[in-house]
This record gives sequence, structure tokens and C-alpha cells, in this order.
Amino acid sequence: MTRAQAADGGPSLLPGVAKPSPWLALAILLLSVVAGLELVAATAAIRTAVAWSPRLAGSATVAVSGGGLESTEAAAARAAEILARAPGVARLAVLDPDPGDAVAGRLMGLDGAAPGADPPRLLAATFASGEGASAAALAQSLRRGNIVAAVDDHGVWTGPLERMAVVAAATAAASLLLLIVLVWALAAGSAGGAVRRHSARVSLLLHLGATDGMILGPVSARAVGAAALGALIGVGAAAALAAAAIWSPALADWIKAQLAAQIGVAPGLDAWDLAAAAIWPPVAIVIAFWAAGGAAKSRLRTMA
Amino acid sequence: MIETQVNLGGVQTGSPIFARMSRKPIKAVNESEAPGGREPEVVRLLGAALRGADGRRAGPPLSIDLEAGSAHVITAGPGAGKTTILETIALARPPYKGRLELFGRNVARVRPAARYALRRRIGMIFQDLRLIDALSARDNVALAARAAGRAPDDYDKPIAEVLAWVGLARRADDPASELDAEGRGRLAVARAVINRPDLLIADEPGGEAVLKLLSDLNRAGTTMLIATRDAELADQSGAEVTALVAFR
Repeated sequence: MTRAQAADGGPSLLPGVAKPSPWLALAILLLSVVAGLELVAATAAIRTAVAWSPRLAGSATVAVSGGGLESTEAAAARAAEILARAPGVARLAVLDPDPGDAVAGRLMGLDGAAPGADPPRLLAATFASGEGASAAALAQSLRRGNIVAAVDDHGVWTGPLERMAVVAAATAAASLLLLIVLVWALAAGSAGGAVRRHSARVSLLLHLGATDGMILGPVSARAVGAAALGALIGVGAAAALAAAAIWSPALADWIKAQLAAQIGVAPGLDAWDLAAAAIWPPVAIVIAFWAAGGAAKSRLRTMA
Repeated sequence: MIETQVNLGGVQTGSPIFARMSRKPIKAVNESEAPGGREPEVVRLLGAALRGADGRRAGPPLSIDLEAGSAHVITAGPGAGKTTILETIALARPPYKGRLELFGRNVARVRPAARYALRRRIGMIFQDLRLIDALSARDNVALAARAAGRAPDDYDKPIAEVLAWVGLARRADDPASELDAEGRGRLAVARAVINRPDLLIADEPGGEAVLKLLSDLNRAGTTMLIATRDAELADQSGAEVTALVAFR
């Protein structure tokens, strides 16, 4: 004989209904793995863009080459004097020579250098915020000083970074919305099914004077329990995968390669990015609660 | 042809079962004849077209007044709509049109909390009894008390008293499935009265023991509304009788 009892020893109104639905928990678990990874990846991408864009946009790199009788070293020294006086330049540094400077100069579009001349020297200028300094203004100053130079505003880097942030944010928002809709549908379906399966008992209880809340309580608890279980385990699994990517160089390289193929720039994961996944369980629980309550109430209206 | 036939006054022969039932009047009239300006009744159905289980209108407008403490029998053949009337009055479904008042309140205007309170003033004995076979007799009755929001401290003693009154004290711990037909009927009565209803509705109650219990309840002041297809029982009841003819 089944004699399901409530905590106070009396018969349970809806025995077993409040127990979390296993299949709902499993479905929400799978969705939660996706949601957790999505949140971690989006946070890393946005954090990278937010951290690097201002730094890149607020500075410029200058490649200087000698021209005519003037050596590259002399031209670099003269360029440093001109740029140090340019309005809005907060800091100027002449970078140490590097074998890659020749390549960097060509990439920056430096032309007009004499054939066989020394590799260009690179200077890094940092702008004071709000004072109107720009790469174009620096280039104009250098032209006026008859210096052969190219000024790079880092647009080649900030563009992909900003695009990456936008893509990451949009993808995260869209996929989270989709995941929320799926959790809503699953919880509503589970709650409606529970009321339907127990319709004879529910109908009897309503006849006996039970309030909607007495019926909705266990039905909502069923969905909320499943959502909490599935979301916590799912997000935990997602966080474990992300943590493995942080602390496993091979996996991190593979992920970066995948991301780089998609959006051009691969953000690096940080341990703090994992915290973003913690947003998902409360969201899933609240959505499951609303969906289950709404669906069960709607079904009760057709019965009472 | 669809019509509502009214039989006011019932049969005056002494009934062995309902002989001592009160004989307060019932009126079942067409919408145009609906009475107005009366004192609040336990049930007042005014020109109500009823809604069947499929949600569609079922039958012509009907008006019924039940005074407190009275006993009334609705009689008709199978499928005539007796259960629809009872379930409408028990707030299981709204009337298709018209007005239903319970204990002086228009049910269309009551808030949910008040609706629950109204429902708890009505005890219902279903045609199929709707007992939970897996539960003991005590727990079947306790379920009704819990559904009405009562705690075990509040209902444990009354349940023992009610089970003793219906003659099931010794079977209190037996599952409902192990009771015979009469025992199940007694248990259904016990469950219907555990919350001390002001109105008891019984759909096709069967067995002398059950009818005797209902008679005792009515004598104690509980308003009674009974539906039966047994015209002879209705006639012998001594209660006011409404005969529905070709309701659908």
C-alpha cells in the first residue's frame, strides 16, 4: 500500500509530485552546460575587448626611417623632439631596436626610406585623454618636420577586438534568450504534464476545498528542484571545462585556435571569468518557477 | 422536446429513510418565473443555463432556491444533467449564463479566497465516490481536512468521531480498497462531513446505511441536495423533489 505522508504525518495532498523530475533535471543540465560555457566565453571576450581597446585606441606607434643624408637614429631623435611638443601627447618612448622592426615598418606602410637604409626605429606615443591628440595629427607634425615616418593608430587591432566583443555579447544574449525559452518550455511542459497525470486527484482536491496554491506548490517545487539540480550540475561541469582550458595549455591553444578561426582574435580565459557562470542557476530556477506555476495554473483553470 | 418539469411538494407518504427530513420548499422554474427579493438562501440559482463537461450549454435556463436546513431531491434518468447541476452548485464549473448565489453571495463576483471559503462550506458525495483506494479510511477523511487547510492537531479527533459515527471506527486503518460497497459509501459520507459543511450534495447516493446517515445530517440542520435516478426513492424521501425531463 502506498501511504505517502506529509511532514506532519498526515496524508500528502499530491504524493511524489514535489520530487524533482529526473528528465527535466537532465534536460536542464545539458542546457546549463551550454549556458555556462557561453557565459564564460562571452565574459572573457568582453573583458578582453574592454581592457585592450582603450589602451590601443589611446596610443599610437610611430615608425621613423632616415632620409637623404639623415640617419635613422638622427631622424628618430628629431621625431621624438617634435612629438614630445605635440599637443595631447602625454608620454613618448623610443623603443629599443628589434629585429622585427623592419617588418613592423612595412606592415605600417612606411615608404620613402632610402634603399639599403637602416631598419626603422619605433616610437610609442601615449595620448592624454580628452586633449584631441590623434595619429593623424602626429603624422601631420612629422610631415611638417620633413621626417619619413608612418603612424599607426592600432585600428588593425582595435577593429577585431571591438567586433569580437560585439559578436560575443550578441551571441551570448541570443543563446541565453534561446536557453531561457527552452527552460521555460521544458518546465511548463513538465508542470502541465504533472497536473494532467494527477488530474483525478487534483480535481478531487479542488472539490474538497484545496486552494490553487496547495496544488501549485508541489508542482512548482518539482520544476524548481529539477532546475536547481540541473543548473548547478551543468554550470559546475561548464566551469570545470573552462578551468581545464585555463590551466591546460594544450586545451587553451586548441580553444584559441577555434575562436580565432571564428572571430579573428582569441581572448584568453581568466579564472575570474568562471564566476560569470554563477549567473545561470538563479536565472534557470526563477524561469522554471514562473513557467511551472503559470502552466499549472492555466491547467487548473480548465479543471475547477 | 427540451423542457424542465417541476414537481413541487413531493410525495407526502411517510418515508422510512427521510421521514424526518425537513420539508422546506424548493422551486425550480423557468427563467421568466425566477423569483426575486427573497431572503438569502443556501443556494439560489437564477435563470442559469448550465455548462456541461464539454463546456457547451446544456439545457434550458433553470432557477432553484434552497433554504437553510432543507432537503431536496433532483430526479431524472441517466444523462439528464443531474451531475451538471450539482457540479455547478459545487463551484466545479460556472453556469453558462444566469446567476448562482451561495450563502447569499453571487459567486461570479467573489474573489478566489472567498471562493475557496464557499467551496469549503459544501460537502460532496460523488457518484463514483472518488475514494483513494491506496489510503486508509482515516487518511481519506484526513485528505479532505488537509485540503480545507486544517492541521492534524485540528482534525485528528474529529476524524475519529466521524468514523465512529459512520460505523467505521474499527476499519479506520484499513485501506479504502478493502471496504465493501456499504463501507465505501459510509466513508464517502465521513469525508464529505469532516469539515462541517453547511450544504451537503450527494450524487446518486446508494444503500440504506448511507441514506440513513444523510437523513440524520439533515435533521441536524445540514442543507441537503441529492440527485438520483431512482424516482421511487425520490418519492419516498418526503423531501421536495425536482424532476428533470429530457434535460439535454
